[in-house]
Amino acid sequence: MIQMHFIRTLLLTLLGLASFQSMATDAEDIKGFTLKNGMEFLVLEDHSIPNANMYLFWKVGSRNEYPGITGLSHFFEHMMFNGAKKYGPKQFDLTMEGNGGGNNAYTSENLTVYTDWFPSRAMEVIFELEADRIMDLAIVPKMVESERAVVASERRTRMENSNHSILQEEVKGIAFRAHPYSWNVIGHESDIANWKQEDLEQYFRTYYAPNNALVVMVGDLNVEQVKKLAQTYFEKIPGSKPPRAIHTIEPDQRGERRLFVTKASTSAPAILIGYKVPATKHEDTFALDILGTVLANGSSSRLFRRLVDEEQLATDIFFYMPDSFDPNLFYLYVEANPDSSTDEIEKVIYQEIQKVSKGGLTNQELQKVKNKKTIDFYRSMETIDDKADTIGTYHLFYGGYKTLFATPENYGAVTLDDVARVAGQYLKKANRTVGVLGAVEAGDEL
Amino acid sequence: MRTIGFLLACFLLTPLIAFSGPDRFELPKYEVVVLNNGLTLYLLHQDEVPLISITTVVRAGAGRDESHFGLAALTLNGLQMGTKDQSKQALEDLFEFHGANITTQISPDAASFSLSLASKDVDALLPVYLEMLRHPTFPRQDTAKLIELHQKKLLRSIESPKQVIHTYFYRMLFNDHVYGNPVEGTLSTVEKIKPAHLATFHQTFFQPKEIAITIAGDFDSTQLKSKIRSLIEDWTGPPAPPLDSNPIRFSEGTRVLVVNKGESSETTIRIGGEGFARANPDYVELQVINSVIGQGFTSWLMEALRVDAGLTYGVRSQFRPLMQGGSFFISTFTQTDKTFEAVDLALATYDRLLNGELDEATLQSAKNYMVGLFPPDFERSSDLSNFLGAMYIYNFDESYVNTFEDKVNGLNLARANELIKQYFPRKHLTIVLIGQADVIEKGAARYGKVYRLEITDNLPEHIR
Repeated sequence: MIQMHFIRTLLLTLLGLASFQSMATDAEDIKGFTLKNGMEFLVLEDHSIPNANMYLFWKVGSRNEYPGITGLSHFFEHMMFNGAKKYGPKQFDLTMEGNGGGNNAYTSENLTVYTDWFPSRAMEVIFELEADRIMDLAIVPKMVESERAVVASERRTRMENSNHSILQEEVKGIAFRAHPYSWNVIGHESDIANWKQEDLEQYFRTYYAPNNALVVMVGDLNVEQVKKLAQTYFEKIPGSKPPRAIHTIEPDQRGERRLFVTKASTSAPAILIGYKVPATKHEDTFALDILGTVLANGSSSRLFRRLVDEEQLATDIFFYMPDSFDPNLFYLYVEANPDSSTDEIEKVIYQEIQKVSKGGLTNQELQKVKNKKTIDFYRSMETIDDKADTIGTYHLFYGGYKTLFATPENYGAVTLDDVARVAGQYLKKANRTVGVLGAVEAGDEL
Repeated sequence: MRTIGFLLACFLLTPLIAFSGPDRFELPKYEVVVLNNGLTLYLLHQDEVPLISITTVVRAGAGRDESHFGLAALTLNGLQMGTKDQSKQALEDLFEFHGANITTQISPDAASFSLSLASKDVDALLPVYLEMLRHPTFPRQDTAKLIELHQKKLLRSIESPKQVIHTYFYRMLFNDHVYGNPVEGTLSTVEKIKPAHLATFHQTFFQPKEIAITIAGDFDSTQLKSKIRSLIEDWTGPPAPPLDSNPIRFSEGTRVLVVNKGESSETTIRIGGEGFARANPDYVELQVINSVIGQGFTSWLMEALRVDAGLTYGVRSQFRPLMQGGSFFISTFTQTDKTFEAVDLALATYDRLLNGELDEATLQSAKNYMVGLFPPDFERSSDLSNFLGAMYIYNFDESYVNTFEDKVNGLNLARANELIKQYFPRKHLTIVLIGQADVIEKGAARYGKVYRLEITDNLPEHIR
């Protein structure tokens, strides 16, 4: 009975009768304006709770670094909390929290994002705090040294607790030999220990000009009020010449690249495979995302079924593809069983990829991912913080915030042929880097 | 990433004022229905997005494991292994086709089985979800695979001290009370669990009188109630037997457990002691006080260990209240050769609170912080369904939310100091250090009696 119902639902969905349901927010609700200094704002009123947020997306990440200053974007993210002209060391956090707000920040390969959450009555204080550090950051040498140790600890704890972090660093290093996606966002240990005061000062001048930022605000506020505060506090900050574009293009990869990481204490091997794929704005992104999901996300995915459930070669597998300004990697990560052969696991992965490139997906698989993407879209718009982060991300990576509301349609337009084509075009041997982590490297046991 | 981690009054530029006003946050209205079979149903309507979150909580937590540590967790995950009409794979296909997510969570007091789905898919998925809850078949082959997979994940988890430190800490703190049992089990206990154990556990503890189904999101309440009634009101059964546990017995004096992970470059640290039960009426005020030392970026611990000393990326403190009692602890990590500098500084910073160094301005700042960031905790439909589930299990009501701001704002310095004396443990501490035991074991003796284990050892039944 239940299965019958399942088939009926499937048919209805395939016929397109399951319509896109209404949601409280749509594209027209988002209002944008740009200050005279080039700082761009997107604002969404949402009065569901008496709170609001300010997300500042700075267009600087590890792709703007070079050997010697790797990790500086992330370090700079930390330094932005360590004192400015009016609000000295510790005052940013003390003032924000004392006014009922909280904050955090994250750095990626492409962006540095500062997130402020606050009761809406504290909005003006938030503008004042942000303006102070954007205009007059004080890079205090004593704070630099203390923060250097903090970042070293951050790096160390990540490597201590995650095989995935260890492997990702190595895989990126081999997959990219020219482009700055080659190093991890957190940077090399020796660079963390050695960057200089002038490196930080130069970084601030180059990347923290208001015309290099997008500010997204969502919550219990109104657009006119935000505009007035933005003009009062941010407009006086001078814009500057846009930073030099990243011109390095990773040369074509002409054969498989492999690496091994020895970790004597590991209980079971792990594998990370990275396939070169285009930048997020490329038209193949949606098809690649569907492909990765069908292959390796969820218990009903092809690789999970074979590797974890049926052949019990692995304990977990997942796919991810970071949003990127430049061509990056399509990752598959596998945690192997203690007694499994990683060669055998790889073989299964390549067989399944080939099955898609030759035989495509089933209609049901394609529809499954489209359904999932539609519901994930709702999930990404459930809270004011989800909304701010999602709006900013789409605006910067997908060609404008309006594309966010076309997410279901964009996935919906992907055909079976598209998925088969991208599987053949991108997920091929010559295009991959394979990293294996294990207790002993093959050939070393003798 | 900054991570969590801070309040110091003397630097405040302007005096802080208390926030309160007409926009006081309250829990959205909800409905409670007790069905004829004793099962409790909570419904809370919210239509921000066309999604629904359903959380089923069952008084079938790891405290019920007896000697089969891990059995409650496995039974909960075993619900997805199949029903009379559907195999494991058919269930996975069905839910994933609709973009729905099933998640599970086990605590010492409760098992929680949650479903996030699109509103339009209720008819397709709700009957199957309830069937999984009520009539799981625990088929032998798939259930045996689940148990084996669980063992492999346990084995892998010991590679990450952050993932396992709580297990050592609770065992050391709660001794032979069930709250000291490892909720996910150990390699040796899970090895002995058979599919039939899951079926028996389910039959004994998954009884309607022990269950609440909490639903938040975009739905028609009348229709949904009627649907649920028609699907499960005929499910009857006796209440579960009472929880069988030794009383909570905290050890005398400070004890240190050093867990050796020879390859470590850092020491993972937890320091704590006796806390209190969730029903404690002082919980809200205690969270405010705790935030002074261990929540946010201006907490005393964050300022001392991270900002001033650069010893760690993260440090925090928290209370963890459960049904019968609870714990308080500070967690952090630091490079191996800084271990004692970090522990000493954490203790000295904690002592500042105990020695009466909290002042009016710091307390006011903490109060503003707690009130200001409270509403976002209840925005997501899953936050709401989980909160309703916790209300059922721990027997409290919406006044926790609706009086939160008044309670926070009513806390004054004299009262805070009384609460500090009463609730924050100091004499009898439990300290767990995971790292290079050969380097840190000797020095650890300065805090109290030292015990040593290898990270690959089985967790002992008691650490005496």
